[in-house]
Amino acid sequence: MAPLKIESKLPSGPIEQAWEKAQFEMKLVNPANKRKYNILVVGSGLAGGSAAASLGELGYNVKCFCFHGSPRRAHSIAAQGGINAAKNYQNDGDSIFRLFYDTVKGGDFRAREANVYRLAQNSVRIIDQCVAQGVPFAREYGGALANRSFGGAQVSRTFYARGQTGQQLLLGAYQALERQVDEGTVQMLPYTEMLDLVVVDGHARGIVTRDLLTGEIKCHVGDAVVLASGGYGNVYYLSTNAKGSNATAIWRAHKRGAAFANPCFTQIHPTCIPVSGEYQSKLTLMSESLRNDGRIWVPKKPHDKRPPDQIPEEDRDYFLERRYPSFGNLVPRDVASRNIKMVCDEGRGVGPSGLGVYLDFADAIRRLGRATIAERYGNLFEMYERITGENPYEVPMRIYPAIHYTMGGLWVDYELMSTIPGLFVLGEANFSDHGANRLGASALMQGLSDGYFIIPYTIGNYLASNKLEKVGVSHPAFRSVEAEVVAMTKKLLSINGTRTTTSFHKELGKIVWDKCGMSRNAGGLEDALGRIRGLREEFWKNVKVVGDSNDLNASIEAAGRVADYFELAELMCIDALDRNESCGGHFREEYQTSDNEALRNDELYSYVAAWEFTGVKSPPKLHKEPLEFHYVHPSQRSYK
Amino acid sequence: MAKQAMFRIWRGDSSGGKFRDYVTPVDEGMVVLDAVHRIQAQQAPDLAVRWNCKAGKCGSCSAEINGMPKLMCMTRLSDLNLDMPVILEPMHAFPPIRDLVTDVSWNFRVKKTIKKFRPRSPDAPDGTWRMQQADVDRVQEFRKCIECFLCQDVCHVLREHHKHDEFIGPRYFVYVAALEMHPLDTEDRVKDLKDKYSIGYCNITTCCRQVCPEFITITENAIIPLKERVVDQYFDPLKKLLHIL
Repeated sequence: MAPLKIESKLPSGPIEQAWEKAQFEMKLVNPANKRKYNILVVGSGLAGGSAAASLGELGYNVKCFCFHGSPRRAHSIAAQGGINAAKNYQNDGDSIFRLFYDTVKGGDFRAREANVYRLAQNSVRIIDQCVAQGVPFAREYGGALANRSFGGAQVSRTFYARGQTGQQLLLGAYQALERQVDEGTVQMLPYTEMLDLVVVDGHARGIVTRDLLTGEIKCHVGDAVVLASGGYGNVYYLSTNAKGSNATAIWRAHKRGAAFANPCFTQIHPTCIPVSGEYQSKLTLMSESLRNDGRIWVPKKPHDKRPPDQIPEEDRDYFLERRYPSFGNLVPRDVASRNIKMVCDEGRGVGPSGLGVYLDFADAIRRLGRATIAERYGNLFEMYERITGENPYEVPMRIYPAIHYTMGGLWVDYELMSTIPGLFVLGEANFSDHGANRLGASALMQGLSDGYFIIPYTIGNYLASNKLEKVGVSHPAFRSVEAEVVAMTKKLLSINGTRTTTSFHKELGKIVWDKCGMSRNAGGLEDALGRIRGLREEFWKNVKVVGDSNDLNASIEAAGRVADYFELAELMCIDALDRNESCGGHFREEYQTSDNEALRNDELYSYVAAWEFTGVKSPPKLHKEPLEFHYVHPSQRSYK
Repeated sequence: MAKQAMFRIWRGDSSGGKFRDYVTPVDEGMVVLDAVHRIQAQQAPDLAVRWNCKAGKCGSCSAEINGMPKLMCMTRLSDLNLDMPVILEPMHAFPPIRDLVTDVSWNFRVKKTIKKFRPRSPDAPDGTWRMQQADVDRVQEFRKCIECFLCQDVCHVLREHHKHDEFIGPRYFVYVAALEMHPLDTEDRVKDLKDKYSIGYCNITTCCRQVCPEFITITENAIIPLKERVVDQYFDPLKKLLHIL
């Protein structure tokens, strides 16, 4: 394997012209030649769907892999709130520079300036693109597009389609994708999951997949591979991610030589429905927008078991309003989450498990009337009631933080290419734009910016600059990777132990959540590392995987994914231990200000940590990509 | 609660199958999918069930619960009579793959036959359009669809009469409505509704609307207006009279 190189290919010169200049300097593929190139796109959510559609429209030959029956099942549909764009329709002072500034600051100064600036530039075009696809964004009375405000910004720049912006944007991308399927430029492969990456002479040349209905293992050859397989929040077992969302595609690519960047940057969302029982398999997110009118509180006294309506005002602690008088309940996600954990750790949490706080709308209903609250949050209240059986108009909601998004991911350069030439990574699967903390309504923006507006240029540059040898599935590299995949499945089936995959996953998730979740410390992380390694060894000796390999078999699917989570969890803890500072979602207890806020160390840690895989039992190698800030000067975030 | 409940689950594949009973403890707040997971964890690790978001949004966990098409993740046990066995079956209108998983790919093939969105040219010189919120709301209702296919499952034209080759089913009338009523769309699908999609087979029993987990008013807001368009264009007696004259 060639030595791993971290070259960010950041353009020089003024940031405003950087992307345009880079686009001009990129080599192009002649329109008549595009159909001679085969591109494999893994994933068909917002990032993968938009990429496959755009590449197909350009004339490339695209195969798009989807582990669901239809792209519409991708977890992008679950995004509720909206998508940011610096249109400044409200005339309230927004600009590309301001969106750029807010995103770099919100990410606690751990993102690349040039990437974020390009994202802000593209944001404007995304909205136009989506409207032309028929996405029903909310409108003002005059028929122009409407906006609302969102956390971490002082302007209204969020475009939305009721509480289902993700679904509406995905329907747009799906429709664009289907158009290309009709044209014959894109071939969709549903129920097909990527299990490994094939690298030939240092270039990504194909993937090995499993047909989830028949179990068939198959090789696919391409001139470039695009991964858009989402984040790794499911390492934690309980998360707001859909259950199928997994890290296998990016993790196996990592093991083939793609560096993994900032794995410890994970985001915890404060407003989720609390865990209700031992057999709960997944958590549900309630939109952040609820904090606009809901007031968060717990009883002042620990273990106060009175029902909420019998706790008088003087016995309640509105702890966010008390500690952050100017931002109150609207502090950013990481700050809110940590404070909720703190009061629950003091024994003041509510609900049967004690892991929950009240989100109370009584004051808002008194002030604005029930009808106004219903208009603003009706669909969310209804969803909450359907899941919990409690009516939030009458009883305060109970919420608790949960893992929601992962800022870390495969390292990519400015052209979204990983450290393996020809392997591109888009959307949540890469690490690129959000630094150590993502702002609300920015995930949809990034996925679509990558898919519609970046990859169509950069992939051409790669293809035109590299003369790739013709290879087929009979090439030894394909044969050997396929054999490894088959062997792994066989091995999992042959262990025939006594514990289910779920029980391992649950135990792993608890370790990572406790020690590498909302707050971390060196002792805890070291302890976690030991326990994760022990559990991994036990997994490979004692897991019980049932059924056959040549069939619909969820047991095999899950076992393969969990096997990857063990290794990824270890890397997350190693990264968290190595980063001796607190920033954004990474809060190390040893590094905090006197009022318990995250304390960055810009002198030593202003870099991207890109980890190279060296073997399951050998320590990964750290490569540092220094971060430089020329336009936004790092400062201490304060929300007091 | 903390009591026991019996779940009578269909186990089998395309060659046939039978019901098997599982008794499992149930706790407060559980939904049917939680019970299925508990059964999977403790008694039947090979039980096949498809699910993903557990928030009623991905549309994967459709099944028939006590004979009613429902999402397993959105059906609370407290709404069922647990003194009787809870009967869980795969959807009937589609071929079974295994246990609770069905092959719904027919739906995706049908979707491909429907003419795609074709917007009018932009309203403003900057390439943007103007739309009224009321028009946006009208299509937004249809675009809430999560393609769980419960409406297709309950529709007697598909379920009992197996008209899969002629009839596109409520889901795709909703899809056609989302396109036809879109304020920007210029395509015409009315002839297809009559000839290719056999909208006339629907006799508005409203079963589809009753099972929709997204509460889309399928019959009244989508199908009936589309039927009216077909009638206006092809079966208007006055127009016919004018033609004869």
